[in-house]
Amino acid sequence: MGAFSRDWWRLSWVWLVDPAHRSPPGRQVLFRSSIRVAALSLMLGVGALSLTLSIFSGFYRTWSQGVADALGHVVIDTDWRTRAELRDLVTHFPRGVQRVETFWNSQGLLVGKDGGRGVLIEGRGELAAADAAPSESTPDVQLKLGAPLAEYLGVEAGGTVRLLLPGVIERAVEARISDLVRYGMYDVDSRYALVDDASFAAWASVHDPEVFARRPGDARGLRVFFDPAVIDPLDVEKVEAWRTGFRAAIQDTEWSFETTTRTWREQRKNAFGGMDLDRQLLTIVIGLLTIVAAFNVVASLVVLFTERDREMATLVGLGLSRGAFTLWTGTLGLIMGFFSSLAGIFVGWGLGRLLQMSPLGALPAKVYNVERLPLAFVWTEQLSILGFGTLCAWLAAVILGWSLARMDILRVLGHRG
Amino acid sequence: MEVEPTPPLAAEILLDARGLHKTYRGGGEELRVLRGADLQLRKGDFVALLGNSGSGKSTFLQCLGLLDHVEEGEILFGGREISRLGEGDRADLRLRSIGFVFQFHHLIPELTALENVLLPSSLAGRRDKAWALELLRLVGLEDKVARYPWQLSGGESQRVAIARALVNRPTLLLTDEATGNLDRPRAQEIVDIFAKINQNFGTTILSVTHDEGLALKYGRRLRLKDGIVGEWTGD
Ligand SMILES: Nc1ncnc2c1ncn2[C@@H]1O[C@H](COP(=O)(O)OP(=O)(O)O)[C@@H](O)[C@H]1O
Ligand SMILES: [Mg+2]
Repeated sequence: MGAFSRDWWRLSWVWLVDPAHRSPPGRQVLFRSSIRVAALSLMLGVGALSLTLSIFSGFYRTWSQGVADALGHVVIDTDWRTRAELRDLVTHFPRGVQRVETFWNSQGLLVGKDGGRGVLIEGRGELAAADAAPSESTPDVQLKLGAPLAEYLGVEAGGTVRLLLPGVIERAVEARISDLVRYGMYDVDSRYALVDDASFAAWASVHDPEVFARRPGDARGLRVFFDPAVIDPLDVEKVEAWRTGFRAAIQDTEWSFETTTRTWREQRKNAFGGMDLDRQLLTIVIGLLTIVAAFNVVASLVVLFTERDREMATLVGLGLSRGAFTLWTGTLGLIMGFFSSLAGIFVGWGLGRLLQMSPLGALPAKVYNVERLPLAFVWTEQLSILGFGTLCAWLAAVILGWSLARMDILRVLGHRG
Repeated sequence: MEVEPTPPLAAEILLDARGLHKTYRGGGEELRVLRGADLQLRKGDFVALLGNSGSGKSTFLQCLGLLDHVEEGEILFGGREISRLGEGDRADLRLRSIGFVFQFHHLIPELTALENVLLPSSLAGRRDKAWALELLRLVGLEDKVARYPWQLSGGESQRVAIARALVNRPTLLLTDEATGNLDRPRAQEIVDIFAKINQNFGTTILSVTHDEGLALKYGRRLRLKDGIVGEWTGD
């Protein structure tokens, strides 16, 4: 109660701001400069935390989006034979699906002008398309390649590459590169080789009817893409909810095939797991820096206390209780921590903007597969940084206040030998 | 409802200190400053406590004012044992019931005279500007309420400190060599103010002084010697 009195806070304000007309001539005011340095250091600490996390979230989001769009938001592995069966399965989908593609996978080899590379070839087709009928014409097998893979092979869009699918077809296929894609994650882009299933079926119907008759590849299934307006594919919980709904729906059906579902995160578990670990470590390291910075704020409170020790002892002598005293230092720490952290968030945000606009924000696409520094200023994340900075300063100030409140007032006031 | 009858004598006693002991230890030496000091103050008493330098007057007063702890003995204040209270209750008693004036005024330099006087009342949640101004008038500083302590003389600062000690209307005022830094006329003025406070408000006052001349202005004179309080005999 005492700590909330008007004059007490006015006095705190006077001490913090130290208007010259109130101070006796020649009074030392180290406190004001020390509080500035402390607030600045907390601000920079929080700024660093904020910037690092938003860069990290930026990469994370870019890569997640890339992986999700390349591999499908949810993958359903199921040993399907005809599209009709799959269309039946799709009727059990919960709401939110925009597009469904069929796929099969098979280990293959691509040989281009500059070299060859073994990759997992994927045949991808629209589920909506009719089951291919034997064709008379033999169009090229269409192939979509990740840009880094095409570069490695020495081929460009429009060119051809030899495709070997041992175990699927005996002979090599001359495939035409219809498109080069870049999803932003090297791990995906350097191995991305997508055969257009319709063109492959048409080709097989002429050159290898036996292959045409069965579904090729070792792994088969559906790649499900959500309508982002209904289900944000990066929202892990919503994706999980969809999967749960789907599993429940097919439980009571006649569907006779083994079916497993994987979300995009699970498809690249290692990459995202590694990223999560990186993020955690970085957050811990910079979080520790922020704690140090918060203690700087408290160090400046120590300076305030050292400079004003006689007055504080006088106040305690006059009956300011230990609890009120602690409440006071705690509130000062809270206020300083909050505003310094808030400033730090703005600094982090501003620095991020600046970095994105400046040449420093341009990334070598060869290294990162992303051309500009991705930034995602996630509000919940930034709010927790703000809370963290404020909490550190508050906690440190409370600890300080509690120990300072135990001062020997008689000694401070010079009434003890 | 049944009301407990209060013994008439006990009602008159404000402070009853019994067998106070205090020993300073340090550097392997023991200094037994208080050795069973007793003191009884009635409501409205106006008492001077004399004693040689180093006899333990300040120690005694600080223990009574809950600025320090006794090792043995008890202090009854208004019939309530207060020497073993927790820190929060001690602070509350210092804030509301026991005023203390040191030899040095210990005013907050960044606050004006009036703000300094108001501070304890504000801390106690009963800020009363009119009363603070009245107290400043009582100590003769009505025209200097907006001055900062460093714009006041030593005697004037001490008078502000007295007004501050009184702002929460304590029943007991303890002063420790409050006139020690002042010249004779200034010191006389201060003691006159104490007398006025004692008469106007009925505040019980215990003043430590080593000035026997000033002590004569008080209603009762005690002496602290060998760690025990006795009547001052004037030798
Ligand atoms: N904190 C302390 N530690 C050790 N000795 C002390 C302390 N405070 C006071 N003393 C000693 O105790 C004795 C009494 O001191 P004090 O109460 O200040 O006497 P007075 O006020 O009568 O001059 C003195 O000898 C003094 O040196
Ligand atoms: Mg003394």
